[in-house]
Amino acid sequence: MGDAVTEAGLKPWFPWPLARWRWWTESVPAERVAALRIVTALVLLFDLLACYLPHFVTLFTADALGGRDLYAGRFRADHAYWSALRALPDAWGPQALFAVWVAGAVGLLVGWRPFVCGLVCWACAVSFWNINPAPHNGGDRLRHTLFLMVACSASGAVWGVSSVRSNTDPRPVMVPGWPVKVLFVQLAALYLLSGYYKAISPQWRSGFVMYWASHDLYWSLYPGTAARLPVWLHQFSAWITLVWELGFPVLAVLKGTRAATLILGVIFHLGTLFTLDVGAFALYSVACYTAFAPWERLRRPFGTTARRDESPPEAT
Amino acid sequence: MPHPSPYRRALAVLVGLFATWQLVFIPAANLIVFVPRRASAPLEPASYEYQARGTFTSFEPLQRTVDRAGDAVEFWSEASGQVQGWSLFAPGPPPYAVVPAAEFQFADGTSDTALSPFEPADKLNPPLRAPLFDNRAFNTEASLTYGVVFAPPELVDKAPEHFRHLPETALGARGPARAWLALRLKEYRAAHPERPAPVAVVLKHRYIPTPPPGAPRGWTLPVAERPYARWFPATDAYEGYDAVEKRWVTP
Repeated sequence: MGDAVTEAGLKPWFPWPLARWRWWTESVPAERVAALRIVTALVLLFDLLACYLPHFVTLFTADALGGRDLYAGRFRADHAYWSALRALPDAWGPQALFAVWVAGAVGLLVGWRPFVCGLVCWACAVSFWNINPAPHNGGDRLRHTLFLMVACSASGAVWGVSSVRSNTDPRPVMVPGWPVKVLFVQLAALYLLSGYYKAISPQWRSGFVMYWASHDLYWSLYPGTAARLPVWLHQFSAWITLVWELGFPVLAVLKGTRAATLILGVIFHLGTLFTLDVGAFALYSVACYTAFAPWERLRRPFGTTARRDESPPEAT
Repeated sequence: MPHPSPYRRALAVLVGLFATWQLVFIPAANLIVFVPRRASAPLEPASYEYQARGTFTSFEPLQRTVDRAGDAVEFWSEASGQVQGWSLFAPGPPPYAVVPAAEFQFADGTSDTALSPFEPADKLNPPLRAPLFDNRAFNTEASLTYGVVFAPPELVDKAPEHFRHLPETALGARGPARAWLALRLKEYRAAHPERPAPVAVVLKHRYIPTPPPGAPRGWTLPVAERPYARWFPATDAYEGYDAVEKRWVTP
């Protein structure tokens, strides 16, 4: 009897005891990492063309706020920071590398050599982040993990130009799931640590933090509107955030609470996107969540489905 | 099933080791900040405020092992761009906004101030601001405030011993602060061609109090201003402001 599923991507060797840990070693439907690749590419293209490009000359040219020596101390020998822009001339280097970055993002979007395109996007992102950290925030650190995991995720197995060419096999495609798990661990660490620092902050415990944040004339995108909202609403949103962040590593794994926790996460990030000037942090975070949704349900009904005895992998 | 080639087997091992390292690295990088250690190099701002410094044991081999483990985690954080250190608005914003502004000082003793484009002019009904599109510029400008967000003038006056590092912070920000002042000067001169070239351009911080809960609507409480850095365009000299001693200092 032939296999009911096709395995794509390189199955890694794991040392003991990881090799026996099903959560870590299980494969995931290829649609999940394909969706992760596509959404990541869309977010990146939006970031590049709508957020970076209009300010590019100001942010990355030597006679404005950029230049290879502006943060020269960052590249001293006792640190491992690097940037391809250090090796390129200030006159055309940033523009050339930006063009490569856009090309890498387009490659990811269409699924053309996603491993190479993912690594190109990661290298360009790190290069721009290091040469001028000022325009960046925590979301850009998160995107570095995101790009690396997209590159490693065999995301071109379906929904891409490479997969279209060999689309003669109707069986569901499964790929190694570890990049999705790494993304989950990254998000869990991000929320848990943030939750910890919030929990020891009296402002967060009292709930008034959201009042001050939403009324902050510099960081808030809607201070005038926030002033019309009742204080208890700000407090309530602070407490919900605190509980959700602290609980995420457990609640997102338990079957009964997983979907609600992930949906709340997306709402949380979209909420911060429209209320605080956090920029693409929200978009890259939401892009990470893409890998946890059951995109395989969109699979075309070829008549052949996964074996009935094979339970679908957990989203996280 | 055919046996994989030695090349593919080696690749599988490499990928497995990389994946394992990623799985270990992320929690390790986030947790090691709680373990006092001696860093081999000065820490970068992203991790510096979280990392516990010093030693946690007098058993030197154990301390040295943790120090080296920290160095390895830090190396990969920096090399891969996956710097950890997450707090997401913790401990929380203060009850005021800190906004940078550029003050142009002229030879005749007059001055003019260019406010931040992100500071609403209407303090009674500040308008909505669109997300994303100007965030890169906003981040750049906001980075000039990070060192002083929790150092409002009244607190510096009350507890000066906690703020003696401020001039060092200002002097350390020479590159980006000078570049920002030069850019603001360029914009100012284009908008005011009738004005002479200023002798000095000052980066100052405006502390705009947030109305407390229940207070009348509007950001109308008095704004406190304090200089941070001063740049002399003619000589390219740069000074930092000592908020405790109330004087300018040079490197």
